[in-house]
Amino acid sequence: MHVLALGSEVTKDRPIKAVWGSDDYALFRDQQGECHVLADMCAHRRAPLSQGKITPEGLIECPYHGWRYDGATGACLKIPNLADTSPPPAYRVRAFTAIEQDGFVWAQLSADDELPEISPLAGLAGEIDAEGSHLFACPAAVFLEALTAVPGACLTIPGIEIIDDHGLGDPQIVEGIWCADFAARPKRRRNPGSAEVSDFRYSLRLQTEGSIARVRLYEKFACIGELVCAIVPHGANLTRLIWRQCNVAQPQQSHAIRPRRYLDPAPLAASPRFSNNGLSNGSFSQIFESPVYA
Amino acid sequence: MRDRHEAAVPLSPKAAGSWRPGGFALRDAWFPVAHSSELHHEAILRLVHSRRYYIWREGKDIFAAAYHPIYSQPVADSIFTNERGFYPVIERYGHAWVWYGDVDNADPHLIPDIPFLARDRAQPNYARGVNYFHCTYELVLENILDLTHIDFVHGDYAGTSDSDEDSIRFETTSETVTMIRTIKGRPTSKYQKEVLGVTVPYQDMSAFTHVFIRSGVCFLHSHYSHAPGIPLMQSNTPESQSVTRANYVFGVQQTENEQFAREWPRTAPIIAAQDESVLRPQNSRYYGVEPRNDCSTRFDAAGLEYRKLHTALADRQRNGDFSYQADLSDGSNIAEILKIRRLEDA
Repeated sequence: MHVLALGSEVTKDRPIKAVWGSDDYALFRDQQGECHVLADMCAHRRAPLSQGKITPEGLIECPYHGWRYDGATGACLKIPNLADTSPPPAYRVRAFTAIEQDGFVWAQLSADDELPEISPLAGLAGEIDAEGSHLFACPAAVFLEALTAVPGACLTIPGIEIIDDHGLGDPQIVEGIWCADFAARPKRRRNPGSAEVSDFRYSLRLQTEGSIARVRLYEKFACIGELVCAIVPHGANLTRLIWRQCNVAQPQQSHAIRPRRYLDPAPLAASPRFSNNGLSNGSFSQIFESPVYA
Repeated sequence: MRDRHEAAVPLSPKAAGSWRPGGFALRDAWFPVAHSSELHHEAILRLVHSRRYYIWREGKDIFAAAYHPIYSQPVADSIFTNERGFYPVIERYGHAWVWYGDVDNADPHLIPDIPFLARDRAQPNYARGVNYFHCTYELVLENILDLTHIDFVHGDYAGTSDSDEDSIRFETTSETVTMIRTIKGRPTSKYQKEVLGVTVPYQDMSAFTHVFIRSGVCFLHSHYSHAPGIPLMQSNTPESQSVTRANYVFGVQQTENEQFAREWPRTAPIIAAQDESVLRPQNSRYYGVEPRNDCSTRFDAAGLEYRKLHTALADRQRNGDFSYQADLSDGSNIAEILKIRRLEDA
C-alpha cells in the first residue's frame, strides 16, 4: 500500500489530486464519508477528474463534459448530455482499493504491490500536534538518502541540534525495518575545541520501511517527540513529504520535529556519508527500494 | 458539396481510436500568425510547427523570412523559403498570413474568404487579441468542435445543459469540419441576463463551428432567439507540440448592440482561461504516451470526424501528396456556413 494523502485533506466538498511517481490520482469522499481513489483521467477526453466536483449523490464529475463516476467501482454512471441512455459498462476509469489508517490515505496502486501492507511505523505514539505536506526539489530516492544519512538537512527541531556525523552505533535492519540513532544536543554557539559532553542528553532515532519514515526524539531515553512521514515520488525529480507530528510528552520547552521547507545543502555538503563515500555507492534507487546500510 | 452527417456514433471506445495529436505537422497552408497592428519596422518572431518566421513591415509591404533581417545571416535551407530565405506572406483581413509549406505551392486563393472582416482593414483594437493554449492545436480544435463542454467549462456564459431538445450534426470536406448544434428551450445564461438584460428564461440557439484542418483556423458563431451574437475567428496556430497561439478577432459589426460589441470581446481571455484549465492537463495525456482508446458519445461525432480527416490528410502528406481536393471551395463559404451577412452588405 502507498500513502497518497493525509486523511484530513480528502473532503466531501471537492476532489483533490495526488501523485505517485508518474501517475495522477483523484481522491474524494462520497456522502457516506468513504474515501475513494480513482485514476485522474476521464475515460472520455482524459481531463483530470480532480479538477471536477462531487455531486450530491457522491459521484465525481469531470470538469470538461460532466461525466460522472462511482468512486468504488470507477464505472461511469451518468453522461449528462445522454440523460436517456445508460453509459456502457466499458466506460469506466480505474478504481483503486483505498484504506484510511493512522491519518493517511493508503491505496493499492498495483496488483503486485510488493510493499508491506501498511507500515507499522505510520502510527503516532501520541495525540497529533500538526500535519502537512510539501514538495522537495529532489527525487524521492535522494530525499530518503538525505533523511537517513543526514537528518539535520531535512529536519528541524527548535532548540535542538542534530549531530549528523555522530551516529550512536551503526545503522541496523531489525525485522525488515531500517534503524539508525543520532546524537543531538541543545543548540548553542560552540567554539572549536570546546569540551564535548560524554553523554548526550538528546538522541534521534530514524526508522524506515519502504517509503515510510519515523523519527523519534529522545531525552534521556524517554521519547518526547515524534514525526512520521511518507516519502512520495512526485514525478521523476520531485518528492512530496506527507507528514504528521506529535509531542509525546510535553517537556519544559516544545521540541517539535518538523521537516525543513528545503533540503539544507550545508550539512549535506559536510557529510562524507552523503557527499563522498556514500553508503549507497551512488545507487539511490536501490536504497529507496530496499535500504541496506548494515 | 459538403458531406452531411447526423451525429450518431456508436458508444464504443474503439470509435475514438488511439488518437495521437501532435505527431504530424500538416503543411502547405496559410497561417494567420500576427495581427496587422503588431507589424512594424522592427521584426517580430512567430512560429509555425517550430519553424521561425521573422516578420516586419517596410512601407506598405510586409516581409517574412527565416532569419532576422538585422541580427542573423540569410538562410535558405529548404523548400519552405525562396532562394533569399523569404517566406510567402500576405496581409489580409487584418492579419499577416504566412505560408508553411512548399513555396511553389503558395496560392493566395487558399486563404479563406472571411465575410465578417474587411479584406484590407483591421478590426478595432477592442475586437481582437491573443490567447495561448498549452497543448497541441489538434486538442484545441477538438475542444472547439465539441460544444458540449461549454455547459460545464463555460456555464456562466452559455447557460446550463438542461434543454428540451439538443441535436448535433456536422458537415465535412477533405479540408474542413463544420459542427452545427441546435438547442430548443435552453436556459438563458447568467451573462445574457446580467449583462445583456435578456429577460426570457429560455431560448432557442444554433451554434456553428467551422475549422480548417491544416491551419487550425476556425470560425464560430451562435444565433440566439432573444440575444445578439458576434462571430469569431481564431487562428489556433500550432507553434509547437505544447503551445498553440490563438489570435482572435470578433466581427463586431454583426450586432447593432454597441455595448455588447464592446463587452463581449472582453470575455475572450476569461473563456480561454477556462479552456486552458482542461487543455493543458490533457496535452501530456495524449502526446508522447502509449496509445489508448477514448470513450465517446454521439456528441463527439464532429471531433471524431476531425480525427479521421486529420489522419487521412497526414497519411496523404506522408505519401508526398500535398494537394487540395476538388471540394476545397465547399468549405470556404464562411457566410453561408455561419449564416451571417457579409460585411459589405451590413
